[in-house]
Amino acid sequence: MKAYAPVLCLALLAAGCAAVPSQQQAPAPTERESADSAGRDSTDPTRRDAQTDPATAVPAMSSAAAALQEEAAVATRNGDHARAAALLERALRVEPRNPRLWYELAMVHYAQDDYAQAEQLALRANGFASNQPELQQRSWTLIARCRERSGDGAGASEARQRAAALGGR
Amino acid sequence: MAKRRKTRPRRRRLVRITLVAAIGTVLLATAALAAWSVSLDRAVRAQFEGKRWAVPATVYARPLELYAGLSLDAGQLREELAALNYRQRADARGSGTWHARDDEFVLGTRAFNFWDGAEPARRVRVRLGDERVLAVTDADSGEALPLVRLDPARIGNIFPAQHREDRLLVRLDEVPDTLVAALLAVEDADFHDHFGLSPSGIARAAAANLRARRVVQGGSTITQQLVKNFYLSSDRTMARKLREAIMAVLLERRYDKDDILETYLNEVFLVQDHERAIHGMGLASRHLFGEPLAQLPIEQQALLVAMINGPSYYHPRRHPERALARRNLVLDTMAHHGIVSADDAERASARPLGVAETGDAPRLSHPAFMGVVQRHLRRDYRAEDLQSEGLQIFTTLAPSVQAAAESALVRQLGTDDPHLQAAVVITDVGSGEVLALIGDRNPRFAGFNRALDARRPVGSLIKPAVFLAALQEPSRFGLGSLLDDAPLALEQPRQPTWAPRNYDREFRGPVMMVDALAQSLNVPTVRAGLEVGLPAVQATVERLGAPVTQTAHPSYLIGTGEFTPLEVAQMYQTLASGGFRTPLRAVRAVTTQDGRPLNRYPLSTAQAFEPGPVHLVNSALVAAMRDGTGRTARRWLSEDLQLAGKTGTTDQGRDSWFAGFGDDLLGVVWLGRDDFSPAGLTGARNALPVWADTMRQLRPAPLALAPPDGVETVWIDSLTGLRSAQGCDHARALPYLGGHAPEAWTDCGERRERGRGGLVDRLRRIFQ
Repeated sequence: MKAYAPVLCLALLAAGCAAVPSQQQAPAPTERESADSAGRDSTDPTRRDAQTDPATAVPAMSSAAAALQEEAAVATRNGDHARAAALLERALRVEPRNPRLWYELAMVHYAQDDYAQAEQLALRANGFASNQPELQQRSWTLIARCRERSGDGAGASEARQRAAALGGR
Repeated sequence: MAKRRKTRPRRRRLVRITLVAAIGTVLLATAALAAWSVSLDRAVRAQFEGKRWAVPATVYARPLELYAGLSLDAGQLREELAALNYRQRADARGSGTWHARDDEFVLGTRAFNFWDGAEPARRVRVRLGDERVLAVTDADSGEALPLVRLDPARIGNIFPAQHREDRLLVRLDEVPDTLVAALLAVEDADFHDHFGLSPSGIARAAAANLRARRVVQGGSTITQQLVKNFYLSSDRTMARKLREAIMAVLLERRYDKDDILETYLNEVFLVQDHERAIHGMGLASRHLFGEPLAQLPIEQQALLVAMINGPSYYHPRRHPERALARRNLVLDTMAHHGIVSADDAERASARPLGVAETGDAPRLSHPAFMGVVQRHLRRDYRAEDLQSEGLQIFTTLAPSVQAAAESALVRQLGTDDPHLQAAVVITDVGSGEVLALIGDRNPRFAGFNRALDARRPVGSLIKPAVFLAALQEPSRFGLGSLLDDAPLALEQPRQPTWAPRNYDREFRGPVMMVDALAQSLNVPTVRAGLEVGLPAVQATVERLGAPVTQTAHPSYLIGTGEFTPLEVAQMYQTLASGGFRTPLRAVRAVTTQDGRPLNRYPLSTAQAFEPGPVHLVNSALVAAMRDGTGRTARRWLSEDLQLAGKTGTTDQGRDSWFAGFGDDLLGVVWLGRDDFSPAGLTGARNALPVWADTMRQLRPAPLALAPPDGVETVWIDSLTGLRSAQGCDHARALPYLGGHAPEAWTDCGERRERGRGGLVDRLRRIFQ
């Protein structure tokens, strides 16, 4: 069930048909460029480039959510992960469909060594990030790390492939 | 000589015996007294050290967070302020006050220390418009504020069953010096010099009482009063007086004066508020004046001191004249002792009592919600700790959401059937937080909590699980797959043949899956369920988050399975969040009385289903609201507001259900009778109006229904289930999992697609 889409995609690609439309396909070149530039150290939670990068069509965050996100970043820098998580949950109550906030909450759980929850939160981030390949790519990278840490090698390499398909490095 | 010798020893022996007996008696008495003192000492220490008071846990609603863009109308904001016991005041000065002109509110917020950050008291201007917060600014500087978190409304306490004492502990340095001085001047002038008992105090009190010809002073010291309060016995025997005296002396020997004073300030009983006994200056201040102790003017400090003498006799709400006279007597005493100047005392005496009309008690009780909170906490805390440790419980209840659900229930339930019972659950889709809960047709009634404990057959509410089980096999099922709506008879071993019927008892022939769900057709649902298999359906129910306790019979597919309203909410929550299961939560965090976090209950989520199949089911549930069994919701909700929902009805109208959601809010309503008797209900006629009226007030965000990666829109011919194209007769646009659209085309579809240059699809067919 889980694998049908990539399998189909791979089969089609193997047949040499690059024109087949698929949601799993690599994004448009301009987006891919910005994803490249942000792709390095893509799991650093303090990075803010997706928010400020005019090349990506990321909707602006409300000032309420941004204030909480900022406070959460400070808490993370101070190693106060419980507080960072609480602040991000508050931000998510303001913007429940903001993939960036879900992703950052995943990062906080990752920092707390809670890999299972970090992975799930990153998956949830991806559900809201269909027009943000750069964020998706970071998210898949994080998922790969979580799976590695919890000993799921096959799952990790699948996640890495998905990240690579998005980032194209 | 011999005689004298004889008598003298005899006399001596008598003396000796008497002496020994006397000494023995004295020794024994001393020993007994000593032993008694030791035991009293132990009792004193036990009371004084460690746990001095049983402080019930305080339960808070979720704090309202105000920010530009928040969906909120004036009525909802008023509801939140009422739950907070904020007082209306023209200038909104002072904490816990508000004022409104049209859609512009000025709030004097209260400071609150949340564990994740402190919120200061400030004056905030909130501008509303179009049922939203337009702007939040500092009322004094005009500066824009990104986010203001109000203090949380207190919704209840967790008391022990018998004595319901409540208090808010204060440290001595938080108590105004003038209040302490007034207390000592009135109750125990020698406090700093005596050893626990004060003979001169008794004499002075007697003299003062004689002068005034009534009791204006008590003779016992503060230490004695404290000892007396530690023991609830009310007998007035000499033994008790002696015991109190010894204990007072022991207390003074073991602890310093400040300790005793601080304990007294927290122990003293001041007000009876219904069933709750308010002890201590801290809580009395909040209860009577709505202000922290440190901010009270001297006349209010004097009133607190005045009330010690007779909490019910001088109750300022019930007996304002007496309370005022006694307060002014205290003010005179304060002036006499030089605590305040005579002028200040006189001015203060002229002021009114200043007691707030409403106390600090929660305006409304929320028994159903408190029930889910207590059940949640029982996992991690002992009942004694909840009743005695002064814990702070931060919950998810949203007072304005609760009010909306209650008013909708009252309006829509009607009075025709007094036996009709109800349960309502409203949750936040993103976080899984329970925002409102009703467990009885009377939301104030604390009895059987149907939201948690009424396990009832869910009828058609189960159907989304049946179709989700089927749609997870995309090679076999799509929303356009045809299911035969034709008579069906299931023979079963040792049971009568089961022949499911539709609600209208009609048969329609082949229908598309999307219509079977939207129109809630029983027979096609049973066919789909049997094809995919009962175990697969039950596994889906379990993954959605509801328990599977019954062995499956095919009738399970049309809702003989029994679930509580909360379990139904959990199932639909998983659908609403695109296949991610988020355990419903009623508690965010528990802290100690001074705000140290003990337990946090963070958001947790787990992907239970791929987003694709869930999206297909949700699309069908949107169709149910648009043209299916949920369409009557339009009477309350705009047709443009896209929502997903499902009705549920059981045999002979015993149960009426509705479950539905937008992007941010989810609601489940159940109606029925406790004795399971037929009530002639349907989901659409009875539960739906309660749900729709609630949602009308809450204005849920429309369901975006953004197709997840891998889902595409496909045109399907509704008569044949074949692939069709836009513009063809009977063509319907349906979401399909990528690559799983039907392979065979209608003639019209093929023609049009080719005309449009359907290269992509032809290529796909070549490569498949």
